[in-house]
Amino acid sequence: MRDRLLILAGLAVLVGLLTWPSWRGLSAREVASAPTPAVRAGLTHCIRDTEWMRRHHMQLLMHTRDAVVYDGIRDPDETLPGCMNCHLTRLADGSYPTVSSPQFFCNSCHLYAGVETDCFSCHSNRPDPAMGGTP
Amino acid sequence: MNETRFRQVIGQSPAYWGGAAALALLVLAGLMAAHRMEELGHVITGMDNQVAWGLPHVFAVFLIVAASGSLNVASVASVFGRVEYKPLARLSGLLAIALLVGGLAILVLDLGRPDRIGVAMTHYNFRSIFAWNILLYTGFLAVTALYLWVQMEARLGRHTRTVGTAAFLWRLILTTGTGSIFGFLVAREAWDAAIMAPLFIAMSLAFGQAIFLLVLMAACRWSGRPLGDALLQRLKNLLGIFAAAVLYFLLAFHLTKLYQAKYHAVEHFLLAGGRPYALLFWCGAVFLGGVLPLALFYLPSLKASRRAIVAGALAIVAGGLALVYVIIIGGQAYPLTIFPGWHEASSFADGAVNAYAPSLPEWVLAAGGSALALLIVLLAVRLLGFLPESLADEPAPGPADAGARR
Amino acid sequence: MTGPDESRAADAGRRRFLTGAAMSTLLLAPGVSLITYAAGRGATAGASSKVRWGLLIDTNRCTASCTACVTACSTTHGWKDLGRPTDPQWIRKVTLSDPASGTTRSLPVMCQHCAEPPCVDVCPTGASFKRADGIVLVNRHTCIGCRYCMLACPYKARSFVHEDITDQEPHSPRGKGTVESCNLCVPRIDAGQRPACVEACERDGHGAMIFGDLNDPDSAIRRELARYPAAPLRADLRLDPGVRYQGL
Repeated sequence: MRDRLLILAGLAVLVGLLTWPSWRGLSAREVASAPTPAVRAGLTHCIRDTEWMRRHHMQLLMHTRDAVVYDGIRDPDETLPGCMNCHLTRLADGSYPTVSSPQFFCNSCHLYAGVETDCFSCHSNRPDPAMGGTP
Repeated sequence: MNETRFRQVIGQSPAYWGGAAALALLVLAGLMAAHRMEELGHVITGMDNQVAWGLPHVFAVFLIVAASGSLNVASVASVFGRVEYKPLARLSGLLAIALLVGGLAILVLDLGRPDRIGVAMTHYNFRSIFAWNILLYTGFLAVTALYLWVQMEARLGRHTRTVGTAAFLWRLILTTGTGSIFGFLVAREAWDAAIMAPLFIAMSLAFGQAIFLLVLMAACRWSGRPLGDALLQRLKNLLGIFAAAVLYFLLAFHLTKLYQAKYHAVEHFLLAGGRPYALLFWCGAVFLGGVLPLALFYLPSLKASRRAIVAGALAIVAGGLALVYVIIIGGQAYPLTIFPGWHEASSFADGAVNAYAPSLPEWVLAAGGSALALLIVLLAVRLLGFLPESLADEPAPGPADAGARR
Repeated sequence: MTGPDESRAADAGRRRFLTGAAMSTLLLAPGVSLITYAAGRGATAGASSKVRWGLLIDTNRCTASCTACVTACSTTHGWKDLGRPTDPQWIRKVTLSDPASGTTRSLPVMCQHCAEPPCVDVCPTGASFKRADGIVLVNRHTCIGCRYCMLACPYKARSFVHEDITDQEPHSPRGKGTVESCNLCVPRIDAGQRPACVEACERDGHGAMIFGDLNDPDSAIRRELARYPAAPLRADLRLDPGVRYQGL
């Protein structure tokens, strides 16, 4: 086959690029078991069942997001800052975890599942006093 | 007329592989520059809140405009029936695709959120000429690919004229759209003109034909294939007309603005303000882009010189880049007039001319996209028969041959 | 080539497959929409086109040395102008001087919330949009950061976020790679408050800014507009901004 070297090299580069997500995380720490995300002490239930939330939280967030941005319909329970008000827990030194740390609520599952979240490049890691959260 | 035979250009020499490696390295460097920009943000570039579109956009627009124009030779063959250009049609189509891919790569990688290209492909605001352009660019790739296919597949040759006409019309709409990106904007005094659409059409013809001529001459010379003088003269004459057309539209554009008092200040800034825009305009766009090539092409003493053709085409490319720079950057450097008649001053550069200096990541990204276009051509001519075996001039037909001509 | 019996069997098999596929799709499709979202107990009513929010700025009361509106905006929304050309500026004080007479004026310039916004026209993804109540916003979820709207705005209202942000205000999400501008303090307005700049101006005793519903003939802004003439900036462009200026 003509240009064998060129074709094989190109194929190797392509396969490497396509499978990069799989071997990129090889050096990451192993996680022993499924994560149990921390919730603020004293809270008993979420606005939906845990199983429902596990499956559909992104759809809920997307739906609420469009309602807030385009129509200005704000429900303090169902907006992202509203979720944060319950789900953010302080660290031992009193500060809130940064959006990339494993102690951040969303990361406790998302790091394990290997699914990147885009939300917190813009959204704050602190509760919103205006939405009923304690700063 | 003999059937043209096309053959792959199987480059074996160190020069070929060295060239391909150099281009590939440039492409890689461009990707790394884009990655840095995405990682650290545009703060590492020279672009800011006053000059939001910089050198990457200059190169991207230049390549996209040239892409549309480089299909011209194929259009002249298929749509206007000039059979002497038919052997060049495949290379013309290939170059159009390659230049467009290079330009789009720069544009997409410069986005603030290039990871949202999926959003861009699925959310369209049809009042936006930019959204239309996204559709026109991707459609152009498809139409040109189809055009190449019907030319290269013997059984589909009868569709060449139809697809060629579609590609021709698509080109005109696409380039009109590119010019209108600036022409539609009422905010910027250096733009905001309907004539920008035909100006961009003329620019596309000039830049595209110049790059096509350079690529053709290089390909023939380096693959040892003959290129006839008569064909070269025709292409050169065409290029001269296109360069003159750009000068004409520039003249009409600026004369009209100069006639109106409200544009005196911006025209003075662009044409007489010194560095760098006036310098780039007169020495680059007008002299290199028009006057010098016309002299090189039409002076009787240079008639037989291939060097003059190459020099003229290179000058048009350089002048073209300078013109796009003046249009895009110059248009942003001049301050907005929010309060006509008043002097403005603020913490956000109101009333002040905005400085801009391209940074290294921008140069590398621009070079990477340009290298990508050339690399595509270099590799594609290896895979398929884009280049004819010979473009030597045919001897003039005798009286007996006239009836046998198809 | 298959015989007649085999091809009939193959056709029957194909028919069964297609019918099964169509039935499964029909059964699945409603399931996708079965996840309904009843609005929560505390949901607000949302923006309405009956209202058109506007700002009136009296430049006679605006002093050159005061930047209360700018400070209030930057504190509320968390943007900082450190003097670099890449720093955002949602609102800025502009000082004007008349070359003929030497008269000076000072006034704040922000997004003018036009009724015919050029930035909305040009946005390729529709991220730049106008809400029903007239506020022009950037949907940062859909913004791809092309910066075309920055070229299109005649008032230079838009800024691009050139670097990572980590200390956002909780009610003002902002991130690298998207475009932003004055959003008329939309979370505050939806909660029945006034924009921070207007409140700061009043608190500092200048009272140069009035906020209100341009569609309500009894609102303070409409009554003030009826008293003294006010014009939008670049009225010749016919963009019908929601921000008007007196004293220019």
